[in-house]
Amino acid sequence: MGVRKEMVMKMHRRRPLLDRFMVPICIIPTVALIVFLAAYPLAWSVYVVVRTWNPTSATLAAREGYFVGLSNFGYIVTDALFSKSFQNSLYFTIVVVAIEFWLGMLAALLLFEEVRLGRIWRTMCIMPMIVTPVVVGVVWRGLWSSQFGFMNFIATATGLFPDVWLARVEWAMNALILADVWEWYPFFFLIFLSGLYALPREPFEAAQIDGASSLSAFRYLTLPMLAPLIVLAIILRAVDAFRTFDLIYVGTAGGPGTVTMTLSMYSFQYSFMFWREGIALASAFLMMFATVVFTYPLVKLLRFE
Amino acid sequence: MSRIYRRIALYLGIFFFVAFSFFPILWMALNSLKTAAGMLEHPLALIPIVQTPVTLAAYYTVLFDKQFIVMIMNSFIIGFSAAGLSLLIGTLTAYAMSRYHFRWRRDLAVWILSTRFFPAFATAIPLYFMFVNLGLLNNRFGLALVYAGMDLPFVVWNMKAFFDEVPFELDESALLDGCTRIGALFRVALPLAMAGLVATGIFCVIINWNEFAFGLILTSTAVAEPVTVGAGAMMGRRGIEWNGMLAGGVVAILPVVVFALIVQKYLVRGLTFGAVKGR
Repeated sequence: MGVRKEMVMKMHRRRPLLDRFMVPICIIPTVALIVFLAAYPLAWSVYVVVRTWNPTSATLAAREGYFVGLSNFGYIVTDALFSKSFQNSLYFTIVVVAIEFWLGMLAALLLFEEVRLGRIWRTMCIMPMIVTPVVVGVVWRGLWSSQFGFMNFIATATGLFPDVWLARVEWAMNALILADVWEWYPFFFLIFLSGLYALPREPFEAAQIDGASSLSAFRYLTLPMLAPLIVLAIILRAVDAFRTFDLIYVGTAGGPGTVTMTLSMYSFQYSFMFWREGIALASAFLMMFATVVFTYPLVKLLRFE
Repeated sequence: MSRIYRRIALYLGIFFFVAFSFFPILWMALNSLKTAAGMLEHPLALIPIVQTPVTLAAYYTVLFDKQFIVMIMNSFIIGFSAAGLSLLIGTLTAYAMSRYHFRWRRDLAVWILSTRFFPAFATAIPLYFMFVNLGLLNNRFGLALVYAGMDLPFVVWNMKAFFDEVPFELDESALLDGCTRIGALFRVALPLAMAGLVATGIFCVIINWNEFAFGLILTSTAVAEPVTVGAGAMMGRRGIEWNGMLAGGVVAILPVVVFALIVQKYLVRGLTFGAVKGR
């Protein structure tokens, strides 16, 4: 087919002007928009990140500041709040991905079985992922409210777990993790469920005849066969978890104190509250670097022949 | 006997997940129907009518007093125009990537995709100052432009996967019959990928609707603010009634839930950039 495709396309070299430049016509608008919205802004960031850039200054010269080399990076690596934020982001990402992965897997295995009204249960399980992240923050703040929150009421009535998680230094992060797990375990659920449907039946039938337990069938058949999908889902989710902003901004805004500060909140505070763009961008660049290293394998996993 | 226990365990497990997923949404919806005093007096009355009166007052307050109706219009306008622009230019690129093996094709695709993984602030900070200079701050068009760029990776990758499923022979015969290349796209390939185009578009609207960080930074008043920013900002202001907050939440998620139900079949595909075909 490849050769024929080339032939047909060659034949069309002598076609109208519009046809001859089909590829550039198709590609230039997209490239232009991305240059305007991503490439140019990034180039600007590189310029600003090595300067003392302060937009609140009165004169242009003061706004532009002067060249300081890598000292913005020097500032953040020695800043205790930055390392705290970095640790929090990392901790948040690892914990939520681990929990969401297993919950999603379990839900997928359960709802893969033939049950009555299966479609409705599946849809209901997916719902949290659809809910606007800001609203997720609102709902979970409500659920933990000391005045009318449902979770809080259960906590004080039963004494099974502490109350007002979001306002407690030692529990605020767990409250955010719980909200994020609620919101995003459906992501794994949905991907694994469609993965399970795509698996061949024969190996499982053979395993059953040979007397393998369902646990070992899961360990030696399901997991290995889903492996590419698992890696894909984990990378996609981890990247998003690492840069979570909306949930934390609405849920705790980094507090109480700085216990739930993450890299996104750090960048936000330095850029739009303290107006120290060089430092905010240095933090965003380190974040981007970590993300690039982590997403590199993704490129191979996504289909693109 | 053990089969029955297995069955019971299965249903219990499913019940756990359904309850866990659905309860917070139900809690929000039911509490939004109480009065502010009713919420405080009966925190556990899950069906409001049992102990507290049911009222739509909270909805009236957020929609009209808090201008949610305006912000929802903003969200619709921004969400749909961004998705439209992104579909227009992204579909062309996806078609070229599916049909022509030009140089740098793969690199271009990866470059487009990489924008999806940037931390928001790496581009939000420069865009803020660019928009100050361009006068696009607090402007629906400006935010729609940003969202269109945000949608592009989804559109290009998903539409390429959809075009790949349309046999090249069909384009070929159209070209041999004297169709131009643009004609082959619009008369042959696109109609056959129409379901994919619509699903991708709605998927983009969902993404746009749920976006928060760029909206927060680039808009500041109800002139352009999308509903997510309105809900987030309401959280920060003092003296806000919680029943209104929850009513605002319900109003803000209603449209996306409807959109998501429409494209449920394609959700997996959309989320994985076309890598997983789904059922």
